[in-house]
Amino acid sequence: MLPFIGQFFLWVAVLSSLGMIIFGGRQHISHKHLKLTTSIQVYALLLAAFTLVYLFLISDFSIENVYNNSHTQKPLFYKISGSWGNHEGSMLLWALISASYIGAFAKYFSKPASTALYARSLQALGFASLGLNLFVATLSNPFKRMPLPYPTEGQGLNPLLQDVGLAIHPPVLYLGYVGLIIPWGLALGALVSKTPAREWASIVKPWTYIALAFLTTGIILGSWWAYRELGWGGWWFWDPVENASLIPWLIGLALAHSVMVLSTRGGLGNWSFALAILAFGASVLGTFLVRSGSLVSVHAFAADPGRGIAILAYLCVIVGSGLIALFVRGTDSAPPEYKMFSRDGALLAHNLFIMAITITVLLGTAYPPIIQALNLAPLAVGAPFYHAAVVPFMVVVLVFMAFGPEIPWRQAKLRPILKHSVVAISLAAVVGIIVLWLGASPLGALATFLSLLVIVFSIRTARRSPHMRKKSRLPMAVAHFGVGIFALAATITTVFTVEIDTPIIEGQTIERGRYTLELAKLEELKGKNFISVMGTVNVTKDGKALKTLSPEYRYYPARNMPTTESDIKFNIFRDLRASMNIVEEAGEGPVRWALRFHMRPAMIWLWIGTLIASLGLFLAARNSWREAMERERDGT
Amino acid sequence: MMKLIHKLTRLGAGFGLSICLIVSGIASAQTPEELERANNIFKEVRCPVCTVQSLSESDTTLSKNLRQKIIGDIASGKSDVEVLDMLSKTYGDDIRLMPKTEARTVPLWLAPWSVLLIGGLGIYWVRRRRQLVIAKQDPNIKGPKAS
Repeated sequence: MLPFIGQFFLWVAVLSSLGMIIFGGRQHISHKHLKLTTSIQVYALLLAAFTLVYLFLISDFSIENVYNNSHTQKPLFYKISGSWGNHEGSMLLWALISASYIGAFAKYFSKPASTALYARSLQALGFASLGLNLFVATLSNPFKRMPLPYPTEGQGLNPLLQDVGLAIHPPVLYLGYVGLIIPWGLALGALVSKTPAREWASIVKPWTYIALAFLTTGIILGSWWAYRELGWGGWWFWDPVENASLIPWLIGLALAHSVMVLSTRGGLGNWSFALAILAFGASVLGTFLVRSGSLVSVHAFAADPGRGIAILAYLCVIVGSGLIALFVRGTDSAPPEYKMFSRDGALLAHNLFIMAITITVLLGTAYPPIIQALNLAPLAVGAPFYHAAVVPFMVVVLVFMAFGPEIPWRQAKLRPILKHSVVAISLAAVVGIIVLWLGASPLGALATFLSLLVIVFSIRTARRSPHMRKKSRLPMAVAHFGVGIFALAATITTVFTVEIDTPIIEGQTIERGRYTLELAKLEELKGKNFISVMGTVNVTKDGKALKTLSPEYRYYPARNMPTTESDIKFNIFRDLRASMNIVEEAGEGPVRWALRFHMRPAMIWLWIGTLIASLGLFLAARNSWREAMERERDGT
Repeated sequence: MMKLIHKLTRLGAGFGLSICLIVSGIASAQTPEELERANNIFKEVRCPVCTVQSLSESDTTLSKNLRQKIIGDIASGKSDVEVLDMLSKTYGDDIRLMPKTEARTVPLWLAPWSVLLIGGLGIYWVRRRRQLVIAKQDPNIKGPKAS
């Protein structure tokens, strides 16, 4: 009975998106009807999602999705999170979040957006929802039944996914991905209703910032999960799925800056429309790459070419319709005059470099499948390529980030800036040289120098920012400050990490460089759905005891799968991290373990910096939201 | 206790290939320079049975053997390029995480620079056209005033 109810709600959602298309296209626009249909869509999908969670809770194995991803012995928390830790459930979550964004827009922005813009945007969003809801109701149905007889026990959730980080990573990431649907819908709405680009910009700003803030948080949560859970001790692997989330983030970043230029200065109108269309396109493309099985990666937990084709068709419609509308209706708004050496110029150059990075990451990710499709000898594109091709560009972006906000619009002169910042620049340069002397590459030293400048300049901007909210540069300063901290931490941790890999037996002591590792003892542990062996590793540096780490080697009977649980002890200066695995060919005698130890300096600042950057984006969203509302009230 | 560990060991042996983890030790004595070179190669070579992990991140038996082989090759005086070429020959080019520069990878390596070039030219062209438009308009604006 329950699965049918869930299925029923999915079809209600399909109908409500049809309603949005009809009411959004009418000559006489009814705000009431539009609000109603968007609300129905939210509630229908919410009820469908609750139904699915409930089916997971009661372990109803007549549902294929529950059977494949749950188990009666699984802890309650992971029963709930398991409902979106799989393909069908995550697509339902995607649809629900999309509906919620649309509902929020319909509810709160009926006044700030001009009536025509409001209705046509919701019509476009209706088309996008229709495709999505149909996909969830048919091809990717979370309520699909198992063939009879129904099994009595499920397959269990992949143990790697049984982690707090992974329980919250997809919802937050999706809040970012899907949030980009509003800028897309607004771009189409503005083009169809011939709304001036500058007016569009002030309405699209808060939605862009919200989406980017969630996307930033979501990506870093995933990275944090990989760092703790995946045993390799790294935090970014240039894994295809990571790249798939990085591409919409990069385009969203370019969009966030170009709509800011558009609303304050009036330039970059068509460019911003194009970015808004491509940003959501990139979100869908990311889904396509992950879900179609075109990519081989740890994340591709549901590879299915049939669904892949459906998503690809959806992508073509989303991007195609947007670009056609832009081509037909795009207008060149009167662009402002400026010299290239100015804040306008810095933002333009920033956008250009971000696009270069985006295209490179996209091509690098798509290259192996393309080569394969062309029947050429296969090749792989991995971390070393991105380090060589992309990271230098990122360092260049830091230049625009440091100096762009420091120079005036229109036209700038070099001397005042240098005079103004001579102390900051020379101090940062000294630190950069010290880092170089300590063994960093020139690029690493340059990145240190520039990220320090970003940090110092953004603190200065924050302190001088006017108190009036409208003119406040505080959100920008906070976001840039966070990115500066992140960039500095990423550089330091890349350059100065100490890594020790060694075979070890119980009671043995290993000495490498300044560090000594002792595997003091092994203990047996029993968890709710796993058994494990926990090691006690004493870490000593220069003869001084540092910390005791307790990495685990776990075995999950339900999935018949072993995992390693690393142990991390951190403070504000460094992370100490250990993980251990059984050496395979152990025969008689004491079992040999493979111990991997990392000392990663400044690691915690990587996470903190990113969260500060997200905070800055949320502040920007709040300010621009209020601005849009006030603009309506003042009647300007 | 020991029983459990041995049980896990067997499981680990059975499923060792399903998770790629942790490098084990390097037995033979090498000069630090040679080890450094070997470690750099490990980062550029994909573990043949993994998806995206490099040799230095993986702990499959095959990776372990490959690591030993690379160290041996370096000790016997082979250059980095020779070592990588031999790996390509045996396992195919997709063992290298850093794609070789050759005809079919040219687009990949040129991508960032071509975006910069095309974008830069585009900006130059738009700005130039705008200036021409303004230059044309100016006399028109002045014209009526003068007459």
